[in-house]
Amino acid sequence: MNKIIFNNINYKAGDIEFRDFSFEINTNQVTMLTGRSNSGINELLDILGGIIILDKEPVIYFSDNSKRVIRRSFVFRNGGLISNLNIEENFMLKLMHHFPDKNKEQLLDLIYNKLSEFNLGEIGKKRPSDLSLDEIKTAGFLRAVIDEPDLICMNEPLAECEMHTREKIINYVDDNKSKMTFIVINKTSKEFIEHSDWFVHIQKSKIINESNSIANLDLERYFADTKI
Amino acid sequence: MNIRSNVNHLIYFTNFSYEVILQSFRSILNRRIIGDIIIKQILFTGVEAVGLISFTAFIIGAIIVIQGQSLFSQFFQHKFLVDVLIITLTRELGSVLTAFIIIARSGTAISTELGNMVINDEVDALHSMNISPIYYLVVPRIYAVILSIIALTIFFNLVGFFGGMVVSSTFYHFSAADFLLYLSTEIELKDIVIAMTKSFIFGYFIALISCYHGLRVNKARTEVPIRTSKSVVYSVTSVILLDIIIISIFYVF
Repeated sequence: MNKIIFNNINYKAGDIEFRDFSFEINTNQVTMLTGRSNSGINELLDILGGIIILDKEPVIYFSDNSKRVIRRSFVFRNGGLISNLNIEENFMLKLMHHFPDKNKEQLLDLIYNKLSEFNLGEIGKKRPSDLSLDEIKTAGFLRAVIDEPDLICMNEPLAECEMHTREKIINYVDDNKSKMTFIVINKTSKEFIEHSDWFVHIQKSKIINESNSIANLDLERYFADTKI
Repeated sequence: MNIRSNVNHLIYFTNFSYEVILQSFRSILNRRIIGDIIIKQILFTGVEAVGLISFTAFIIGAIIVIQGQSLFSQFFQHKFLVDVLIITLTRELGSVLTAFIIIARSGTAISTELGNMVINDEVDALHSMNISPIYYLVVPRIYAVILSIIALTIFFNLVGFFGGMVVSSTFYHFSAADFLLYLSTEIELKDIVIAMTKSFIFGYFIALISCYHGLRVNKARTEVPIRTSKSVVYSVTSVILLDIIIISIFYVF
């Protein structure tokens, strides 16, 4: 199975320290990071998603040695939309950068097709401040996946979402595993557990355990709403 | 500790400035994304400041003439009033006061806006899209502030002269035609070039310092006003220091 491999991760901030840290994930799967507060999982997700810029960038490559650059994207807990742009412009910003050869009409088609998949076609001209939390989160998710990147890091993608949106996001991830690879942190609910293929437990900036079943990780009272 | 902290800040600022210059060159080739931001920032920094600039410039021009008249009336030399206006407005007050107004209006707005963007993960969102925050947030603001400050400085001078002309013709029997004649003969190209040079340099540093402090906010809302305040202090200090340096280069050496 092909993997995405991160080597030479070096990071220190307060108690969190990754030194010569390496991380591998299977492609076309959902990998869930687990760990309690201050374990380093949020920082690790930020590093994997390219949010934390390290002095020396980690080496990232596919294990099958394909040469192409690994395109990454990030789903933010609060949506991460640019507040002085409307939703259409938020999407356009990303697409113009990634698809410089496509004209505006082509990009608009792409944007509104994607929004329509989640019944959000009417929010294109609205600013984030005019939207509900559910809509902000959904728009943030759709912006992350619209260009179908290789790796999508998701920080609490279901938090603040209504039930029908949660189902749509989970279904989207299930349906698109064959094209993309997902890493998720999801402490606030257990909905992603049965849709995740691999679990990585982190303590004190180290991988303590990995398994294909969360039951093997000994995570008593880890999730907010349940005892595993 | 304090010295070490200051040295660190200087290193960060130097790296930041270097990155801004690199991204500025890049932006010349790729203006597709930042064009709208430049226009919006010019509207805010330049167009929306016209009222305040007009009011300030008119009053300053009038004050200079009133003060100058009290000094020169004994010599019955009206044309000295025009010389004083040119020296104080074109060489000095036009660019400096415009810079101060831009610091107060736009510098603070830029620092606050960018600081809040850091807190709301919007800057991280740019990182996640592989878009440099310096390219997307800083470079267009630098272009816009430079263009705005140059235009506003020219406007400040024109309105200041107009204010001086209105006061001198109304109260001191110095006709508008004579005023304009003296103005056109006394003003030198060198004065205009220096004023524009100063505006360009002031604009660059005001935008750079405001953006730098906005982006240095570190996830705490309480840092935004602190950083905004610092950006004002550093911007004002920079303008004053740059002013004396530029004036010394052009008029002393």
